[in-house]
Amino acid sequence: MHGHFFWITTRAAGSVCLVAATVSLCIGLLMSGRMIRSRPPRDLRIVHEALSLTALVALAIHALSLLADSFFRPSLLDITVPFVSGYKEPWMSIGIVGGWALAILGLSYYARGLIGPGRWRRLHRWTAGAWALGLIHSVGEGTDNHRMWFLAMSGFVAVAALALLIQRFSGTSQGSLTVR
Amino acid sequence: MRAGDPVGMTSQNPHPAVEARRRRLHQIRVRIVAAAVGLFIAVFSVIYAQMPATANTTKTNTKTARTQSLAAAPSVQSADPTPMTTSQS
Repeated sequence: MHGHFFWITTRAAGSVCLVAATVSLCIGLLMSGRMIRSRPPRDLRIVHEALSLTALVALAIHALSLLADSFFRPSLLDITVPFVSGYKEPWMSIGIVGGWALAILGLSYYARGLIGPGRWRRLHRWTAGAWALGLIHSVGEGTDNHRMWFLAMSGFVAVAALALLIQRFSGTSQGSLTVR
Repeated sequence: MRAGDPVGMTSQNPHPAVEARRRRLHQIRVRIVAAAVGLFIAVFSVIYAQMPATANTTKTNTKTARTQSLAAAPSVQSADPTPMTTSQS
């Protein structure tokens, strides 16, 4: 067990990160598109924030537990700088870029006073791109992509998020956006 | 307490509505963290059970248990190719 402990930890944390980020993205899209009117948006914002922070913590565990894996033995550069490790490229680098983007774009919320609300909102839309990179990384890396539990878990949330993304950017919810 | 502050609305004793909201938000955060930890444990357990070494151990344990049950009932004829144990011979 102890030989595989960190390897299993990194895979489990990656799955939790993907699910938390996907649900957070869905809530963000629902809020920005004003598709939910029955519940107070302030509570939803708290859920969105808590899920985003959970995804970032899971992302940190996903990366750091890989450092302790006795089989893979990556260096800090391997897991933080794209195209350094050479392991399962380009999927590894896509994950690293997506992870950094998710962290920077997510945590920029706490610096929106400095950035400016309008500019921050435009910047925050790119979080969907960071999420897409994470999804591509998890499917392309291939460790669990043939497992039924992973396909069911990530497929369910990813389909919902992709549907909301298409609806959001195709302009279906534009009418409700003007209310804002 | 500042002049003009309503009675009972100081930072030590916030308005009940504010306190209720704070409690609700805390509950939301705790539930999300609990759900994430639960999901992590579930995924960890599934991956652990599917690891080749674990799967082999489980298979071996099942085979051993089956052999022992056959040894307990020697009169039952079986086409199972499992080798006979010393207790059966």
